[in-house]
Amino acid sequence: MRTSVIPFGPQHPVLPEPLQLKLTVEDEVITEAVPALGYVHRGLEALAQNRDFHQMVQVTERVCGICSVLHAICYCQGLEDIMGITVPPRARYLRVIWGELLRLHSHLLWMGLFADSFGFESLFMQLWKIRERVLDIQEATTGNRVISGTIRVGGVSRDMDARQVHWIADQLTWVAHQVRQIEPVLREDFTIRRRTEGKGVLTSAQARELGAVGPVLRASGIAQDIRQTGYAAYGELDFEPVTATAGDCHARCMVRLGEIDQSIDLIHQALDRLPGGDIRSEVRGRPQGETLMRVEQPRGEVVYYIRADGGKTLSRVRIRTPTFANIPVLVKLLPGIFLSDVPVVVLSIDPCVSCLER
Amino acid sequence: MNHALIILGIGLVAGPLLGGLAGGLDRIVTARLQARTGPPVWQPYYDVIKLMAKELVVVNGWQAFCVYSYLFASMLALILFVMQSDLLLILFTQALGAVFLAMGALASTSPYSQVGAHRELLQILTYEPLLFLVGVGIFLETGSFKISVVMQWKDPLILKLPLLFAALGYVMIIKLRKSPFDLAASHHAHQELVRGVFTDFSGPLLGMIEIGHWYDTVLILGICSLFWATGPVPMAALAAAAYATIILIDNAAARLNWRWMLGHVWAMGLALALVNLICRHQG
Repeated sequence: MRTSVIPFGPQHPVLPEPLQLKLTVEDEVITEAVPALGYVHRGLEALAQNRDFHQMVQVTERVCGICSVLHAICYCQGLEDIMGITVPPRARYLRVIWGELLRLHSHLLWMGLFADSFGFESLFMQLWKIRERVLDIQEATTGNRVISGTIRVGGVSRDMDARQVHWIADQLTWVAHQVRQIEPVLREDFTIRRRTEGKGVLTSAQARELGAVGPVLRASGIAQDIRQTGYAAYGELDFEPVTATAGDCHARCMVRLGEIDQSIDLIHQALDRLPGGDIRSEVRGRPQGETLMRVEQPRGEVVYYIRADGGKTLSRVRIRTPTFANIPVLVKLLPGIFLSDVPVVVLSIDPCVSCLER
Repeated sequence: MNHALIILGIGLVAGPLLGGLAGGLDRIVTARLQARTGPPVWQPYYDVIKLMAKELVVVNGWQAFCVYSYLFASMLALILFVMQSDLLLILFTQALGAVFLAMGALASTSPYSQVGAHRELLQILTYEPLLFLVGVGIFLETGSFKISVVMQWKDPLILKLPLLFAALGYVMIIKLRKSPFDLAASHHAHQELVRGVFTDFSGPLLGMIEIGHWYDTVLILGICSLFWATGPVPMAALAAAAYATIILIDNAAARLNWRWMLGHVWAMGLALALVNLICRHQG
């Protein structure tokens, strides 16, 4: 039996992010996978020590473009916790709307890449076409397509008028209709099921043991979603975590598909119940203390540890991103699978190296 | 003598002309199916011209020799087809070219190239028996392997050999590198093997491989058209319909793995072909 080592990354067309997996292969069967990280480490955490704590909102948004709003929300919630700031209800609902729009476009982006990983290019194009509409909503409401720049300590910087609220609802109805048309393909297409069912199976016990987060965890049957803690306005909205039991790549896809519907529903709920009033509370003084804040990103739970000593800058910001938590899962899933299934399994955890290399 | 030279010229020109045009139309139709506009129809020619203008870089001499051999075999196979020669000779000539391409990829030490070449050989192993049975089926109906005899046949072969024609569909999908069987190399590089069997070819050599692929495309569409060889129009219509169907399948299917390809194509393709042949033989 012939053994060879195939480098999957750091520059690879299937995964256009600088993550390397050194795959030891025997007759196209993976026997070992060794990840190599750190190609684009940016040291964003260290910036907290020489940037004003307000400026750090912009820095945290740039940890990852795709998760930008949720990084900013998590950071701001941490500081609001330390400083005892109460966020106005309208701002909390606006955070939910932008957070769910982000989850929506992130899942559509992922689904397109996932389709591309098993060679279904037309599905990839159709999914990204739908995603464009979500980005249009973000641009119309925040001024930016990806990095919104609207989250502030104490609230948000932009509001929505009644006309925008109706327009968003109409646009999301179109998005929901388009997704419903594609859903049977993702759910039932023979070639997709052949490529994804039974691949990269993670049992619920393994998911707990390895510390899996997000859709990877929920696809293994564990109904854990940090939004259930009720941060922002989630405590006032109706939703249940989307789960699946198979624990394979198809189940992870189905969980994300369900979360697209869930996000659309949550935005509709938030738009319907959007309260009036201010969008930002006054921020006085300087932060002193420490906190641990968690938020549910599209890829799973992100954790921010923030420590402040009463100065203009923070003494420590530590970010545990969901991709970091899911890397041990990936290393566990790869041995024993065929080389042709590597892109499918790697994409199934939705790796975000930008988050990872904060 | 002049007649033979004219046919030789037609064979030489038909590959790049029709193959490149088919490739351009494929890209436009595929783009429209994917809600895109797509490139101009002449884009495959622009691509090859650009590749030809690049610096020649080869891993080793054997690689270049294999590419020249592949191109020559592909050209020869199409010329033989246009000259209405022996179908078996044409099939073996194109098989020789396909093997040379895999050997060229094996000449490189890149793991992507190596695995791509192995998959290419598996693809050859998968479709060659079916292609051979197509030849046998045509022989059993017309009594000859000569294409000149097939061309004079009055009745469309597809009416007598429908299952064999369906089996040829598998061959076409594999030869044209379409999903679900674009395993050794997909048209774009978004697969685990990057560009698979083509990974270590570049510049003029890659351009020659593309030209060879044009010859292969025209040849396989030509073999397909033999199933309705009652005139040029039905031949062209059948080839166009088959090509359009394959583009549609390419856009409606994910890429599968070689184990599934080997098992399924042999099981279904051979069953279809053999059932058709047995039925005709007993009839």
